[in-house]
Amino acid sequence: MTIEGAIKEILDTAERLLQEGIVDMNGCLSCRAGDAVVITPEGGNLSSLSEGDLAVVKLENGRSWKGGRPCGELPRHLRIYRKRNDISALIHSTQSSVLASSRAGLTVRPLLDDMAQLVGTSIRTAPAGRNSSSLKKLTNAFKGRNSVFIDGQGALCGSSTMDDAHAVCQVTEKACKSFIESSYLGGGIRINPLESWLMRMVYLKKYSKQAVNNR
Amino acid sequence: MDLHKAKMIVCDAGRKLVREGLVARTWGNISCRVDENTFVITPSGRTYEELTPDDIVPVRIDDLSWSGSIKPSSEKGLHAEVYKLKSDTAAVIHTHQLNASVVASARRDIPLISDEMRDIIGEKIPCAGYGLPGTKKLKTASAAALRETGSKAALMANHGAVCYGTDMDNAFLVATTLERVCARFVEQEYLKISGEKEFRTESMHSYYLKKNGRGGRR
Repeated sequence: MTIEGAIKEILDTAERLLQEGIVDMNGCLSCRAGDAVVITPEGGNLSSLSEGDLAVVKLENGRSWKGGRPCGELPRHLRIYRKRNDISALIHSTQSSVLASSRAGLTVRPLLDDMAQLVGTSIRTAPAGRNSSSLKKLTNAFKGRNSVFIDGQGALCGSSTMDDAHAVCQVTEKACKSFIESSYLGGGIRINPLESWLMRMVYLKKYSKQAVNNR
Repeated sequence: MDLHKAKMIVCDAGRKLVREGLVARTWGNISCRVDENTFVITPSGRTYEELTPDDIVPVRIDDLSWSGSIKPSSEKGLHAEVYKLKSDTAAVIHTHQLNASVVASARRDIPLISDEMRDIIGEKIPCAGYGLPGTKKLKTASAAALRETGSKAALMANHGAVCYGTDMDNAFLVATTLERVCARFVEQEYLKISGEKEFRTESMHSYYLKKNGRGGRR
């Protein structure tokens, strides 16, 4: 994706994420654009973002390329983009059930099959720090998955496109809501881990490609 | 019913369900009966907003055969089983709607909790046994739950819900009512456990953190 394309993706998505309550006014999202990363600005208001507000940084070293001052989340985003070639868009979700789950510090396992498919076999919690040790733990917790809790601060949700990262946010919120609220119904019943993994593989290899292939 | 009209009904229902937040993206599926042995259904893996009548696939109820280059939803067997239950069933909606999914994740039946539930859905909303998506086990369990209870909606364990109606508007009404009933059921159960008088999401999360978060039971 070009830098111009990434800027457009972020501007197009930010307002929608705000309306759905996935992020708040100071939320953070980013997009990979070749050797660069486009990210929302520090202290920026997502409801009134313009092209010049977004920060463009070099993926390799995080140095500013152009635009505003990048959001403080940048080190996490850069670390994930460097480690995961399959991730090209990241959204920091602070939706209510996601936030509560990140505060609990628990590992959320699939109670619903769409979590197994789109997110993975669990959502783990990474430390909130931004030092190299915390960042390493972040990528370890994110490995093989599309969401990871940042301790007490919500979740980072990613995918190959901004649209798919948005879907991961929706499914992550639903998974967390079910995890919390089923506890008042006698407790959620987990999907068998092997079946979770199987659904994940079928989704990644086959179903996620149907939108293009089934025409 | 005329084939094109049935396809139009499915396309319109898809957009309406998206607006109501009952389905999103490619999740869930919708069908409409054409005649005794045929229904039309949404295709596999396609978003509702982009669908045209040409994308909606006719499927035979008796053998699930279909024609054309577009693949029908992998849950076509579930829809066929629901049509077999009652000859006057004209529309089936399978959703992954939020509150129904919460209850389905606990695999709980919902007892009668309101007049609205009894009038529109039935006296009990069953939760059908678990099966992997698209499998015979899932469709058989869902159809059995609907048949045994006479309910117009069933939760599907760890998956979502299936609703049917005498026309698409009726099936839509069942799905929206189901969502309200499930939300109310969760609220009632939470209030019973917490002892609080009034439901607030923030209080429910605080209670959860107290019991399950750091410093609480792990």
